[in-house]
Amino acid sequence: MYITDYIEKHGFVYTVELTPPVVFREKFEKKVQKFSKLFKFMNFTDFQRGTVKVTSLVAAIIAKDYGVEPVIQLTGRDRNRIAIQGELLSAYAMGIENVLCLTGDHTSLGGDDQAKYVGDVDSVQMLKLVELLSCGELYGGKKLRKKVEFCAGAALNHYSEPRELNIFKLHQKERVGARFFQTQPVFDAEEFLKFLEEAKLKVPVIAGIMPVRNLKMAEFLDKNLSGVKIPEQLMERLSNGEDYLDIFVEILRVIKPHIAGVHFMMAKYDEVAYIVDKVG
Amino acid sequence: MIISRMKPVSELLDYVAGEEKIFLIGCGICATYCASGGKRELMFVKKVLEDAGKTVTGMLVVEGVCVVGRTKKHLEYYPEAYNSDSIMVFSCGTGISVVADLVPVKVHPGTDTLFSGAIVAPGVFEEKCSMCGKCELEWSQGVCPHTICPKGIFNGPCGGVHDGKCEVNSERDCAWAVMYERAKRNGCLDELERPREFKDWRDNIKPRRIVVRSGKIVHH
Repeated sequence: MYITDYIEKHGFVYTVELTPPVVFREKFEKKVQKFSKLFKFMNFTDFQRGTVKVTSLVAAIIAKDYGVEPVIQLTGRDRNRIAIQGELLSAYAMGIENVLCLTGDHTSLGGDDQAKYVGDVDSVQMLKLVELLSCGELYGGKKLRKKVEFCAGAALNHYSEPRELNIFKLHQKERVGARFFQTQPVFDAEEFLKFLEEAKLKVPVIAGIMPVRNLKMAEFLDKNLSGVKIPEQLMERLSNGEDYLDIFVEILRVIKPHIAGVHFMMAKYDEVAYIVDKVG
Repeated sequence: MIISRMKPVSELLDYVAGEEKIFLIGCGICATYCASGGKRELMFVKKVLEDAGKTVTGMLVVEGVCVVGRTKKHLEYYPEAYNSDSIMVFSCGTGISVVADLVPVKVHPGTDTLFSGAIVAPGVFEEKCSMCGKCELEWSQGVCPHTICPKGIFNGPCGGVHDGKCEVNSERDCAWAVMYERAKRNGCLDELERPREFKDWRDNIKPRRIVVRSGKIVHH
């Protein structure tokens, strides 16, 4: 099922991002099974920060056995245009319908900083490849015997500055066929809404929520998560011992009327269960 | 200018372990300019090798080791080069390969070749072009997306741009931030708005060779 069809039908979607396993398939399956009680849609990361894992596609195939509608993440960091199209055809063959098209972190920032960065395909070009497949075509003009259709989404990082340039790129993603956006974690509801108002996006926005448990985690993310800024106010509230889950319930309540869904990142099952229950 | 950097002394000594007689070649153009293979650097390496008990059989600085005919001619006057255990070359990789093609003895690279660079100030070199074979500088406002953007993004910027700075190196301006400002200034933002197609890499199939006769490319 396309995630956008679900949004259209139900008005709102909750999704969760899981990291594919390295070697322990069973542990991963248990996690998927547990989260599937709450989530129909799940994202599977693609060699997150350049670290070697099972591919997003294989994780998605495993998850499908648990009734999950996977959103595979695909980056251009490690694959050229041939491999990207091959991965998309493979996903289609396995009944995967949703894909998040990403440029990907640079190899120098990840698990193997000696590896060559491929970078033949950026996120906009990947969306274009998806668009071509949906017209029954491969890049280069080769016709396929049938149309290979996906619901393709793209990333939105509201922290990227200059904002004008950031919005310029988001509009470009929309123009080449992004049908939804999944955002970086939101830590400041007002700032996020201000961004959305300014960006005037046409497609549904699924906001990232990453429950930051304590000040130490907040400081770590502020320093290490690409482009992410944790507001001082949140740092203060965490250091004052406020319940972190209630802080995120509050953030979500403020932004919920303006978004089409929530995308939980680095979250434990009990945390998301609590937040979803409170927010409804 | 081709920018190179002399290899660490320890690496050079590893190369010549088990050898006694070594001939040194430097380049009087690029490698001299970026202090990786001029006369001064050869003198330094000579001392290092001699301190390690080696014999430096001779030294030669060619004004452009990459010019095959010139290097060949110079080498004719240095028979000791041929009688050495090896020749260590301090030029760009092209020069090192040229020497290796010309002589029947083992050739060691003395440098790591880094990039084709602009001289922005004495001793300061910056990469501007990756010599990809198909220039994109027209639409990209003179900022090479392959070179200045570490991800080589044709439709940028990436989500990692922060205050106009690059995610990979926060001391550098984001290539796309520069491109965008120039496009605005030049009144051609539409050139950046149009999604860019894939790069045609056919002119990057290596090794590349062209033949120019009477100002015309006759073989490609």
